[in-house]
Amino acid sequence: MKILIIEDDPFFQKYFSTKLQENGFEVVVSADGEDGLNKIKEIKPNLVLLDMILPKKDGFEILKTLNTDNIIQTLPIIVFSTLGQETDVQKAIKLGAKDFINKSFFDFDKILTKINSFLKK
Amino acid sequence: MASIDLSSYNDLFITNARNCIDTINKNVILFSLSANEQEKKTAISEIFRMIHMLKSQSAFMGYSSTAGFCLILEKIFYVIKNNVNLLTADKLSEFKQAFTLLTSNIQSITEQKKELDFSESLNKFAMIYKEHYEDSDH
Repeated sequence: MKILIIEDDPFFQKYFSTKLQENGFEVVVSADGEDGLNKIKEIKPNLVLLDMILPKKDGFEILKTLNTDNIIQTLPIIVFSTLGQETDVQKAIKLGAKDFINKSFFDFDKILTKINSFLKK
Repeated sequence: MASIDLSSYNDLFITNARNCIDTINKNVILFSLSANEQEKKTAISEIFRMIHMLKSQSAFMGYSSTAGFCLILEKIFYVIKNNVNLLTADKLSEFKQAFTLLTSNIQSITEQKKELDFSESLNKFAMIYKEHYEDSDH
């Protein structure tokens, strides 16, 4: 299973890609929104982990584009949130994101369960 | 709270935090030197993005005082990002002090594995947000 992480923060790129690879996933990382959108079309991931604050195109713009292109119906997108981003999460869910992960306070096993639940559907 | 060994990520955190603060400082200079509104906006967007990054990483690593301080700075720069004219010279001077404090904080974490107490600064910038930026925040 292939997961695309669209995340500009090298710290979280490293953390999530390492943990997901340890759990058997193929992981591709994009550091900005424009590259992330291109990668979605090129590599056709099974799931996307999407940060909202990104250079070039932010997470909201990505979700809007995926809506326009009708990709969002079949591609599960889980957004990253952190402290103070509750409104952003609500906005992202309205734009078609399936769920969110608080990347500051979490249990990775729960994240894995969440990811696997979307991959089984 | 995460059931993971954070100590293995400490060096990565410190390296990334330093890069964030360096980028902030570079963009403060760019903002100060630029007369072009679009260049100013780009510089502020970068500062905002770096503060956001530092906030997220700090919260992950359990440096909650740092994360809280970054949160208030993030709220302020979110507003400034949409109207760069809200960043006046006197406010810029205050923010430079905030960024210097963040530098000292990383030094404290590096040397003593302990974050600084941001409560006084957090209150000061919460007041600045309330008095100068809250009305423009939407």
